[in-house]
Amino acid sequence: MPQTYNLTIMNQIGKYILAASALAISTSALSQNTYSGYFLDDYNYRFEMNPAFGNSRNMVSFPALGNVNLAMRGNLNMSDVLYKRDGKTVLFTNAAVSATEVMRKISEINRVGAAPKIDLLAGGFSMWDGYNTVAISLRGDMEAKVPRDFFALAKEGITNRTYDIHDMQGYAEAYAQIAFNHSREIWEVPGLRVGAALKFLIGLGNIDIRLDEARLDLGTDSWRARSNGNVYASVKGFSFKHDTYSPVDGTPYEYVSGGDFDDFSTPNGFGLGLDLGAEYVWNDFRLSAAVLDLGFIRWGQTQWASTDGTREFDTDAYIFNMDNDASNSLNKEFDRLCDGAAKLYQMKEMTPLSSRTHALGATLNFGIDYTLPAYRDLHFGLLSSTRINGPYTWTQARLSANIKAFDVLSAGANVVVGSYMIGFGWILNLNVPYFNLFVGMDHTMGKFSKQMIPVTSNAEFNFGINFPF
Amino acid sequence: MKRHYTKYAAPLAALALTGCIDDGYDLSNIDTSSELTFKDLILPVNIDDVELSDVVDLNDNSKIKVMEIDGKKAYVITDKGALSSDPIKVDRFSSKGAATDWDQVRFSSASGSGKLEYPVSQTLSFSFGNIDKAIVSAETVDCEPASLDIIIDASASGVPEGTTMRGISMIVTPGLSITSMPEGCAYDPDYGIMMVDQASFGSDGRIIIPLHFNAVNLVKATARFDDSSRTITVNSKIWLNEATVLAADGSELPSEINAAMKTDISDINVTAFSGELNYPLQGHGLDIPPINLDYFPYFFSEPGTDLKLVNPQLYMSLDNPLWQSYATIESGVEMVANRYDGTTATYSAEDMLSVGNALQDERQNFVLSPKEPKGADVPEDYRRMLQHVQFTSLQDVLSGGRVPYSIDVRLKDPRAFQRSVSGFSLGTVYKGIEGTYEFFAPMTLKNGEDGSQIIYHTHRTGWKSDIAKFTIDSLKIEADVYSTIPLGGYLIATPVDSEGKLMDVNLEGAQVDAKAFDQHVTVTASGVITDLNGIDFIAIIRPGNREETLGPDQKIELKNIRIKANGKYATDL
Repeated sequence: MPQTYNLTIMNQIGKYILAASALAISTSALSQNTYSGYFLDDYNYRFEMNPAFGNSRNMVSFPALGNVNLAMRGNLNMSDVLYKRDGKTVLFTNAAVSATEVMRKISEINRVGAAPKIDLLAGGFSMWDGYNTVAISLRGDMEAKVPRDFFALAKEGITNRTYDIHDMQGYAEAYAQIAFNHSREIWEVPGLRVGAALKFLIGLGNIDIRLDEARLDLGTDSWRARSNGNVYASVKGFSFKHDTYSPVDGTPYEYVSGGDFDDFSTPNGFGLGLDLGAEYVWNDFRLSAAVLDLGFIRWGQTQWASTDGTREFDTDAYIFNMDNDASNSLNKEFDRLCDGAAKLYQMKEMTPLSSRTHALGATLNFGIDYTLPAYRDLHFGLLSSTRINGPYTWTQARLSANIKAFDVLSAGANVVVGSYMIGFGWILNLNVPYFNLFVGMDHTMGKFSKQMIPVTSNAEFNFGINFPF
Repeated sequence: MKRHYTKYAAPLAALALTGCIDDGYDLSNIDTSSELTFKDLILPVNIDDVELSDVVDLNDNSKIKVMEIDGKKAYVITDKGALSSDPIKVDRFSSKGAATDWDQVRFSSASGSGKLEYPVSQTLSFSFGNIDKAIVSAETVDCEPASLDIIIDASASGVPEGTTMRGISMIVTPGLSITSMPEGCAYDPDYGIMMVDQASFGSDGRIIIPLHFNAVNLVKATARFDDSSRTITVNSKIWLNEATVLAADGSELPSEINAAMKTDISDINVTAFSGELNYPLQGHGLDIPPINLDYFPYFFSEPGTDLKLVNPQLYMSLDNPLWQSYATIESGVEMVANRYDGTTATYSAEDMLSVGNALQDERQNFVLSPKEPKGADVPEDYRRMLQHVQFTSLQDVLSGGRVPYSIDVRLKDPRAFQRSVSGFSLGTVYKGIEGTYEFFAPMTLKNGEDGSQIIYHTHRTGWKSDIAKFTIDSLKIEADVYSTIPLGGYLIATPVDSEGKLMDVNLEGAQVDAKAFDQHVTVTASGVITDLNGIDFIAIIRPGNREETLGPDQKIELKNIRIKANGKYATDL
């Protein structure tokens, strides 16, 4: 029956995507930008969101704990994929979960991602008529996209229509970064402050899974499927795993069934990045704009698996014969049909690429901060952030209220809305002489699974210890 | 202080989180059982044309062959062979020589002559024995030279030599074909009257009157045929009615002449006969090997199948080695169907085969069939001078609850026969009859209420295990049927589960007409199908209105097949 080959395709692709999602979910590590602190006084890492921002004091971070983030984002939540039924955790495809309940939660494009970043060591100091920072970081970026049609195919009941799931993609990347940031006032324009950061990037690894074409046309006259996909893996020591497939007719052949690598710890590329930012103070308003991660990264040896063009499958090509001894008997022709369907997802290993270059995902931040004239310790901010990263582009707007109390404590609360749903964030920043501690959540976490993975995909926990002086 | 902060930072964070753990989400133990549904899903399927040759599985040993009839390939049951009988020989028979007793013959003599005082009567009996059973009756027999001697002995009376007997009037055995007799004798075979002008006594005082013959008309001789003892007995009266004895010149006769008379007949060795011949032909060569239907194609062999053929034909070709004797070779023909249940059914031709003498040494061709076949359909070897013999019941030779495993072809009471054979040579070995036979039965099935029916049952299992994971709540199959097969049928399909049991669901509605053209067929399932591992289907097939011969190239095409289903597929991802 044809659903078996539909499912086979779905099984393989879904496994890749769910693995990527799980990876994203489970990676849940380390710092990325704490947007709740963008407008917060004395938050020492504002410069990472706008290089024009400087700190009032010199500082040095606690090694590896200066800016800790547990962060993930997305509009595809664990609770959209996993459900609780009769004391068990089940998949959304379980019979006990209704299609209405599942599809109500599924968007047209469903995404989950994480952008972990760890500042191994950071420091800031005033010099050269401005403020300077040096930060050594490890950065990662993981994204997965699953189109609604994937869930519709799996859950709503297969019908005679077209299912286009070419938007199903996965992506993971890690690199080390050494950033030099300088910001200064532009005395010629009072209120204007500008900054820039130059980043030297050492690529650790990149895996890019793309389905350029994945389409099922389940017509009433014939069923057709097309696929065209590529997997690029620029990770030192990475190798594809192979399985052998033995078709009914023809010679057995190998296909890519997975990959093997130890970790993303061996350099395999280099790149450059640039951050630019500006802030303008006008009366009670502080206007800011920044573009981050303008640059590229050039990966070295890249393993490549591909369908090598578009693969097609058409049920019209299969004619069954009721005679058990015929070359196209029911069983033999069904085997042949499964072989044809299998080719849709079986990639072959191509000649490795010697290099592969792509642009970094740039981030645009635009902010307006308004200080309440009647109580100048209170100010409100509106921040628009957009990450431009091809199919993984996201945007959000965050409205915050920030207050400074007793000169040692600043706090902020905010509401965020964007590509990854609506959330609530907050931050507390304790800044005493020689010690700074901050804790916050850009997206306040809800529940966790037993394995401490957030049930919703929007969850961030920010924490850091630094030593201002 | 710094240390305190750093020391408790992580536990504080953990503490903040532990109150929000939902045990219902356990990623280490995810139940991946899944169910994928399909709704009114139409699956287009292509099925190869089904030719009759795909279903009718011919074995090399099968008696069903593919032959060409009217330019088309056709299935024909065919078997042929030769037959022959043992040589034909009707044994000779004979009678032993016989004689009457001596009877007194008195002559009263006077003046040199003596007249017979009174007639003398004798009975001469002789009998032919060991008459071949093929001889039903004999009218005349030809024989080796034989003789009937009449002896009158007057030696006791001292009749001198040279004395003659004149004017002898006798009645002897009638029906003799005299080849020689003494001069002056006259013999009437119809009544046996014999007149002898003159006969002389020899020196031994005897007169012998020999009648040489080489045939006997047994009718005239009033012979009696005894079938039980296989003998022909002739009891004939010998009369001496008149005779005069005359003395020779210069001699005198005794006053009384007392003589004695005896009649002898020699051995009669019969060499031929004329009469009624009924010679049963025998020999193992007449035992026609049964038509073995062990390897009959499965399609036609299922219990419940009842095949009635429109015009099966049995061709026979026989010669007549006795044509010169005007004997006819005759035989009845019957066919016996031997069935698997141990019973038999016998079918006999209404008329007999009869080979006369018109063709002389050539063979006579016969076709035994319900209807006389067209010239073009007749095998070439049998076209000349073909004679049709009605054999209506041959249509049913394959009929019954199941095709028989063999059919015997028997010649019933084959014989060489002639009510009035003439001069049939006895002891001559004639060659036996020789002939050929060919059973030629095109698979043209009889239609109608008492027509043919084929029950075709097939049980297929061992489908892919993935299929068993489907639960089909409703199923509808539609197709457009094009058929060149002159058979129509009704199909009932029943799904089979993984234990090999038939489900309590039927797929009904598949009624296909004979030679359907663009017939739309819809099949629906009567219930839910689960754990599907195969299918069992029974087809009840009957010929259409036009009776056509089945052939391997006939086919059925299913176009625009659409399977519409609702259901689900259970699996574990």
